[in-house]
Amino acid sequence: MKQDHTACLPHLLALAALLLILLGLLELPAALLHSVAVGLGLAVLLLTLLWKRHQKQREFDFANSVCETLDALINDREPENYRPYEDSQLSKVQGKLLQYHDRTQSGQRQSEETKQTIQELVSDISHQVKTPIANIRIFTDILRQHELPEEKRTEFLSTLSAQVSKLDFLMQSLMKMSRLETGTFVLHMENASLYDTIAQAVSSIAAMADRKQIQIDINCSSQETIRHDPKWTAEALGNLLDNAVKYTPEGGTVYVSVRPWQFYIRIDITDTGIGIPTEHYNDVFKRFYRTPSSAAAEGVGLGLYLAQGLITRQKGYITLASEVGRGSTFSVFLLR
Amino acid sequence: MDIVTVQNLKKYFGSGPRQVRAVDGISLSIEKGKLTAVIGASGSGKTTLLNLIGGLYKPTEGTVIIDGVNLGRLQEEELTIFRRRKIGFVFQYCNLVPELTVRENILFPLALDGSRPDMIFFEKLTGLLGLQEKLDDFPYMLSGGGQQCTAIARALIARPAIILADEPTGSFDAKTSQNVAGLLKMTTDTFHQTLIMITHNLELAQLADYVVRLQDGRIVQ
Repeated sequence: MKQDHTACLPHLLALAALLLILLGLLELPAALLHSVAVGLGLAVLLLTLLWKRHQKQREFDFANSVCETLDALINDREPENYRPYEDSQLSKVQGKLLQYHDRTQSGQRQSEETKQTIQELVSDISHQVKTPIANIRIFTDILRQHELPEEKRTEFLSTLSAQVSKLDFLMQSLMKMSRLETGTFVLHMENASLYDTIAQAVSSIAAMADRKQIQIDINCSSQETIRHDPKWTAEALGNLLDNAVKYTPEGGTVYVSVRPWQFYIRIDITDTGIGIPTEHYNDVFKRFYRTPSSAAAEGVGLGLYLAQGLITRQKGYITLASEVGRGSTFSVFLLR
Repeated sequence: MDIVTVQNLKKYFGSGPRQVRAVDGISLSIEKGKLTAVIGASGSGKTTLLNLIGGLYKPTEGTVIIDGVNLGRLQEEELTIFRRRKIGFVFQYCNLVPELTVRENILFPLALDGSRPDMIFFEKLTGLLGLQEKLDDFPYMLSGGGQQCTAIARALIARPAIILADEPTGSFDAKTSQNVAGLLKMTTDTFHQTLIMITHNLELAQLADYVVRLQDGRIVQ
């Protein structure tokens, strides 16, 4: 570390003044005293000038070093004179400049990543809609070109209708996904009843649960109010419930329980389905990912991905605990 | 972009037949702004690895490069300054100064460095961690979770290059563990901080972008 010699200058000046006073006290001849005073005065003047010059030089060096750092950053180079392990003002200022530069760079990186995401999305969308569109085309051609018995016609029309529904579901999911990915998605956070949000989510899967005679067991106090976006939280919980009902055998039960914790509210959605092996825990939240054991069930692999995105944007998170053959629990943590 | 690069890192304790190879040839890179969880059984070398990355141990062999600086080339005093500016630590036990208020504890690293706090950042950070109402309290007045939140804020206040968390939830029950881990993840995400977290809790490891599994001082996954 560099020693700052100029720091002792004020002490030297004080010493000179003290010397003059002492000499005055010694009652020396006036001429000698005069000469000493003039000599000391000149010395003080000289030292002050030197000190000022040194200070200027230091300011100049500091400014130059900062400019060198900025030049390096402007030209996307690592600054050569940056020593983050030095206890100097320069390294402190350089550290802040680098942090600022890093922040602007990460913004740029993020916009490049968004661009790439959009490209991937377009490719995913075209891939996913191919099958239903091809099916619609085939069945429309058959219906248009062939004389078919009424029974066959009705069957093909209902297949056509199912494909249109699938396409509609797919397009809606893809639209939500693209809004989530590209950041055009706006949250409306408000203090609202969690009970109502859960009720809304349950209503979205009630028909499917009825068909499979699955009971939904909810344990949540109607008093529970937290700051969240009711619409999108219901959507996320609905996706998790949809999953739970899909993988629970007929006549089973899906449990929803809510526990208020110190910082978070925990919502557990538990099914008694096929379960998920530990090695797939992180994968199930990926876009279009489907575990090998879920391939037979309906779905495109967007529900959990969307649910996680919707909860994460509210500064919450989702975890999973599962046992193959016994079922899974998805736990949603929302900030209180 | 990698913020931490570890090359062929080894740390042996003792010598001869009783030598313990706590870390035995680990190489890894950690991406800026991501959460990496280090998991493994007790004695697998997790804490030794973290202490080597944090410059708290000198390696027997190998290099640790953080934000472009090779820690092995620094003198002890330089290493102290570097750690103060570039590395934030969160330990299992919060290690707060009992005589200081929450506010003073959080600002302590800046005071050591002679830096002025960015009060807007301070307010944002304490707001996220739910500490605004407790800034004038002393640590003993807070719950365990509240104390760990203060420790998290203290680790983040100087905006270090990386945060190293050694079992940050290890001394808590399952409930508080989830709470604290969630807050740690949320704050580091919000401020684009790189976090390396040791945990033996697989549920918490799910919060990570990357998981490194250690066994007998080596990476197995």
